Amino acid sequence: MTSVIPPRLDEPAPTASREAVGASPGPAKREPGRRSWWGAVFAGPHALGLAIFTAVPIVASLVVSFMSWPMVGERGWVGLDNYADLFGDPVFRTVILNTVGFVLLYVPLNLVISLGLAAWLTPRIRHRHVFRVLFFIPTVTPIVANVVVWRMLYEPGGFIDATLESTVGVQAPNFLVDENWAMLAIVAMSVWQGFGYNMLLFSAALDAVPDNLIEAAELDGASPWQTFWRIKFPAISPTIFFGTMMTLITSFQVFAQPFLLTKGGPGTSTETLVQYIYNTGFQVQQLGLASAGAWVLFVIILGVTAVQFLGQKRWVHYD
Amino acid sequence: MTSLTRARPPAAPSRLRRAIGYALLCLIALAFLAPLVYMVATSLKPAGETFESPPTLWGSEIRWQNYADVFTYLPFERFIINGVIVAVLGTALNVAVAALSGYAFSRLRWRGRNLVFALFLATLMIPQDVLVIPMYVMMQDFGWVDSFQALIIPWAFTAFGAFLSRQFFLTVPQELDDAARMDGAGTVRTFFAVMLPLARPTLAVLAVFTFIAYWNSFLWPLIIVNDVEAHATVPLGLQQFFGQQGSQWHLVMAASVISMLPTVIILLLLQRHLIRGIVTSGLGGR
Amino acid sequence: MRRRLILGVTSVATTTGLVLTGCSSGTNAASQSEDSLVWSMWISGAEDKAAWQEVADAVSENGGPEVTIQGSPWTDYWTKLRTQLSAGGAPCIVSVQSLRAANYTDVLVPLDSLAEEAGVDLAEFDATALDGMKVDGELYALPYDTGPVVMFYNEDLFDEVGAEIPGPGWTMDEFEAAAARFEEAGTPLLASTVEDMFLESLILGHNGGRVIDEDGTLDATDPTFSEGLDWIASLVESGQATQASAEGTADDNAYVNQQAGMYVDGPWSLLAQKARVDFTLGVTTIPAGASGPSTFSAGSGFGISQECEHPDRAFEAIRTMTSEPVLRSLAEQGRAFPARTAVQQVWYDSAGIEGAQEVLTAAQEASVPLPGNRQSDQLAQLLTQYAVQAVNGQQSGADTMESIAGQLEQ
Repeated sequence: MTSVIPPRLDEPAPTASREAVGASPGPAKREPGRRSWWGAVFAGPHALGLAIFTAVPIVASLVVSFMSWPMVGERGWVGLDNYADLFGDPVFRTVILNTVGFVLLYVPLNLVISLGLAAWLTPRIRHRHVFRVLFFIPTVTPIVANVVVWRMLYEPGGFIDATLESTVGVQAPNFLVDENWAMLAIVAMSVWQGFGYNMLLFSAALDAVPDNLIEAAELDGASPWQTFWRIKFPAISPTIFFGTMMTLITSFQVFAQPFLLTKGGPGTSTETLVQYIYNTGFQVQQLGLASAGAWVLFVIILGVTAVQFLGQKRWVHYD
Repeated sequence: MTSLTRARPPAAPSRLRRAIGYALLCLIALAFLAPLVYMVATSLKPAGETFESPPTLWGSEIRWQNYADVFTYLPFERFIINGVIVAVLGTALNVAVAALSGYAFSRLRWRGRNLVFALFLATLMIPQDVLVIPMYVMMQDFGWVDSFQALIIPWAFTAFGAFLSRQFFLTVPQELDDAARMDGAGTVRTFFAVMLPLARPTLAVLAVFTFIAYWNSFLWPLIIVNDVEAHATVPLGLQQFFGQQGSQWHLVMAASVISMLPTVIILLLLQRHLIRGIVTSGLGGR
Repeated sequence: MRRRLILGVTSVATTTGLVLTGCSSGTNAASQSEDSLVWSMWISGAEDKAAWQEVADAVSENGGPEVTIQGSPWTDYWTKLRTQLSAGGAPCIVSVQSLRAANYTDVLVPLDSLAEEAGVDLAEFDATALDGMKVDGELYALPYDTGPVVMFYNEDLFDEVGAEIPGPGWTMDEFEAAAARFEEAGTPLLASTVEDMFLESLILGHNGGRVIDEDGTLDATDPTFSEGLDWIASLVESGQATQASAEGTADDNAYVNQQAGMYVDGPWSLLAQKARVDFTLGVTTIPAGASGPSTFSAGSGFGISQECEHPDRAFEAIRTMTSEPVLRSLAEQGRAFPARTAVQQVWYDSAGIEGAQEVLTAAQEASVPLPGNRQSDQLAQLLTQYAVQAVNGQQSGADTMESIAGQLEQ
């Protein structure tokens, strides 16, 4: 479940009221109750659950990644062998490249489309809430259902192929089994299903840009294009930063789309990291190797997040 | 670029231009919706007509029977029931623990609070897909493989929930606590009688996001469910339509439409709340 | 303070634990008992399930244990099976396919001594079917069905394009003549597949190329097999065959939707397909190439997992499940071409397809068992991933098989 997404840690959530997040809870002067153990009791179930189902597994998987751990049979320490195997495996390198390739295509497309539509759907647009809801639909429907429809569009003899053949007389490429098309097909489907979330996020942020700033710019004779880049974009840059981060993190974990559309094929041209982890764990049944793969993914995500944070100063404006 | 200083008033977009823009927007929306429309149309076609060239939107007849056939071809009602059980219980658990901990992190004073909250936030950095391998081993040890609790419990403790409800409780005026205490209410009563009712809208947003996440989840059920009929949720059930006997595309589409209904209905009914949830928290289901 | 905290945490933990044990039930090891066993089976659809439920019911009706089916679709079955067999709550009764039996010898119980004790006359089974379930001379499952891989064709389409109806024993030349006719009419003759058994049978028939030899040794780089792939690719290129898809059901679909004249399948799906199509379905042998008529045969059966605590009871169950009455009933429904020679006639009688008996007899005579190998599951997976490229002409057969071999080495 890649559903619930981390907020940024050091900064308040983009449009949340700032004092709420940053402030230390409760005024210190008029302390209502003394310290009591109630706090621990209230936080207990949640803390326990997180400890068992997140902290333990992540540590365990680091430990397992240094072990040979077949689903059946002897387990034992192998040190760094799993990692050596991974990086010595040409398939794993392909998988990393595929995943990075997906991210590089998907994230910019997602951001451009969502930002573009968010900017377009100003309050002046009639029935804009209808549009906002429409574009949001695929983000809440089961991804399996979304994929299934797109598979039917892509199949030879499917909607795209049949349309092209009957109108232009050209045969469409066999998208899902053609090395040159398969990844693009997956990206197109993913963008369709995913951009609605960022669009809504950006759209809401744009609504919060103070009108007087925009009016001032317009009075100065700025075109809508200039107003957008000079006023609105800087104003919502924290939100865009946040949206970019979230999109990056989730896109590194892409699984269902390639798994259901192409099974990672043709060859390994669309196999992604999470699918590699799944295959290694549950088909080849080497849990140690799979854990090592999972940790590589984790480290990549941490690294990308860190780079984002370092880079944000250049373009993100907090107030 | 010195254009900002140009002394020309902004040209009001002409009506025609606006109309063209609007038409273009409608066109984009239509193209965007095409797959969904195609899905609904295919779900109403007779079996032999799903791959037609030239493509037709509607078949030779509108076959509502397909929707009934979904349930005879596979025990799809089981998948729906399983999905509801998992999503409802998971959501309830998630919201319950999140409400409690959010309160503890905002309105209660206790030793180690800030440290524990920092640890909570740290877990947000861990992508859940990274956890599936160790989680599977853990489920083996617990004897939970292929069970409802394995589908529900591991993902019910999200730091996001604590974060969201803490955000809310921080905005509640301190006077309310004080008044409750004046009346002699203890911590527990203050929480249940005063705070919880106030938090209902926020918790509802959390509930909706959690429900959607459970309902749509695919990787984990794929891994943990062995007995499809007993435990498969809707996304896994959808996958069953691609069996050995060949894909029944018209039935797959009908089943997909059914699987989308709950979340789409939630979206249409609660759009305002959802949007507000996204705006105030900046996060949520995805 | 600290003690209180610990107290609080433990009380919460206990409550959570209680709640969890309260609702933990399901099909775990706990549910395994002498009188109730779990049987893991590939199931596609409610109708299929109902048919197998009758088989399960037959066990308890004959005084055996209660058998509960745990079904998953074919594609997931093999992924799930191994994890299940290694995860405590394994099912007692396990369905296995002959060519995959070798993958599971470490988790299945050899049946020879159980069969001897129970006095089962193994000679009543079809010899090919029985051999398929043996690995290194030891029997790992009682077969319920068997059959040589054959081809289903669309008689109406053959007539329409003016191609000669393919009789049993037809040759590669005749196949190519028919393909040319189809090409003229703008319809592909063959619906391509990359599913292991079907692809391997077609190539075996074409030029005798195979990736797994008689002893079950895997050699993915066999040049004759690669040539076979190139041959299919040439059919695809000229429009005589459809493009292959990673989706295992693409060939069935193309055939059923009349987008191709014929495809490769096994007798076990003959009656189901006959019910699905709205044209005249015909069945014939794989066209015989230079090395004479040949095809692979495969079948399925029921084995017992090593995790099973009551192997005797499980054996009782699978004995009933492969008994004559049960197999006869499966044959009548067309669910399986029975692995018992005595009831095979029943299947022919109820099939109602002209010439089916002649075709199957001919195919069976020409067939060799498709041996299993420890890596055959992985091979199947790799074929769906890679062979698509070879068949669709994006890569030579030799290069494709080279990549597959590279992956198999690990």
